[in-house]
Amino acid sequence: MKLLNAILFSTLLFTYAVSANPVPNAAAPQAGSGAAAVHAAPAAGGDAHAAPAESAAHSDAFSFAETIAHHLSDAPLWKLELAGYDISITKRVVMLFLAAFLLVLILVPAARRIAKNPYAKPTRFTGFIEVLVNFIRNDVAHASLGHHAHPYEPYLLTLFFFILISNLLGLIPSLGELYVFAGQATGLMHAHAGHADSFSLPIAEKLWPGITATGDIAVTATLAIFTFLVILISGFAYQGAMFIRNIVPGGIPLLLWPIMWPIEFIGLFTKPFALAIRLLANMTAGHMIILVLLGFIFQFQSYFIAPVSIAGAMAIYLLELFVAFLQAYIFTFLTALFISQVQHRH
Amino acid sequence: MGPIIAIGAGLAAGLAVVGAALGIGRIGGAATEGISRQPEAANKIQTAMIIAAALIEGAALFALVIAFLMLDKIKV
Repeated sequence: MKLLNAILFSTLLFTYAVSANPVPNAAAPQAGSGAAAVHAAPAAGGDAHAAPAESAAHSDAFSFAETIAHHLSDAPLWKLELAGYDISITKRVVMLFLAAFLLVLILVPAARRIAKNPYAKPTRFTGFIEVLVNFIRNDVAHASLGHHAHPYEPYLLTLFFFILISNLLGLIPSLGELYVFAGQATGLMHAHAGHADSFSLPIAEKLWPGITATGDIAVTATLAIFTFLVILISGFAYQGAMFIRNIVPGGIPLLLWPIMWPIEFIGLFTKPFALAIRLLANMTAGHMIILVLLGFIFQFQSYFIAPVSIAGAMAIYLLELFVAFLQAYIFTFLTALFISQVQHRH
Repeated sequence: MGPIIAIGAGLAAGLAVVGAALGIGRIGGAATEGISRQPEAANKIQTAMIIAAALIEGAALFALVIAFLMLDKIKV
């Protein structure tokens, strides 16, 4: 029942994500043409001289909202359906697969090499992995959970590395858009040819969609629900049925209990809810600011705006690089903190 | 209805930023004061400062999400 409640909470925003990102209908794949025309505007605007003619060619002018929605929204790349449910491989699913694949590719060899001889002088590669693992193990897991940290280390490390690599992969632009840009720059491709809809995109776009997997409420809410389950399970494992009574901190007068208990009970759900929204909003907001700053170039069609926009976008991009690490750390740290709160309530 | 929602969305984002700015400003001020009083604890203070700032930023971004939800209403 509690799990259902958490899912209900997260579906509140999930419905927004779905309603904001209309997925092209299976019956009419050409429905994406509206977004395609919008997307062609910034691409065509790369050349300031050609831009006015281009924007006159297709009826709708450059629009911030639609360009940003196009870049931040999900779209199916391979159609899949199972028992009436749409389980298409979308852009974000591809990025999730890539993140998982890269994690296996990076961490398994590192672990093997370190395990072979733990006392060997670390190479650059194993040294870097060791620094991150040690940081999470010592400064996050052991700092919050003390000597109870050991069983939680695998979960916390998985959370950290998965969120970190998803955040970082989202910062690399999609190959499909670079392909379109290169095609237009060299004149080999017609300005509007590359973006008819997501199904005719070159294979590079399908293999590297360049979207942030953690910028989706479905991904962050799933991570938060796992954290929620870990909190509940460790709460009941450490305190038994007393966990339900001990939600309220000690030393509260008995008269306040009818008020305090419901508040603290809701607090149990808001913790993972806040985790999910925090990661989602941080990853979405940064990308949105970069897109808006770059969008100014196409909005004002001026050479004087471009250097300012690019310098600003560059600064925000570097900030995003920091935020990618910070949010992975915050998510892991708060998970450890919430677990420690339900453990040591004696 | 549209313009009112637009004003509301602007207020939602703007007021949240005011709150977050006050919070982060206080954290920054307290942290620099703490570091200047006790420079050897600078690392620990910095970590705590960044965590607190990220938490406040998260709260401000909640308001941003709400502002987007409101903007979404205009289109319909």
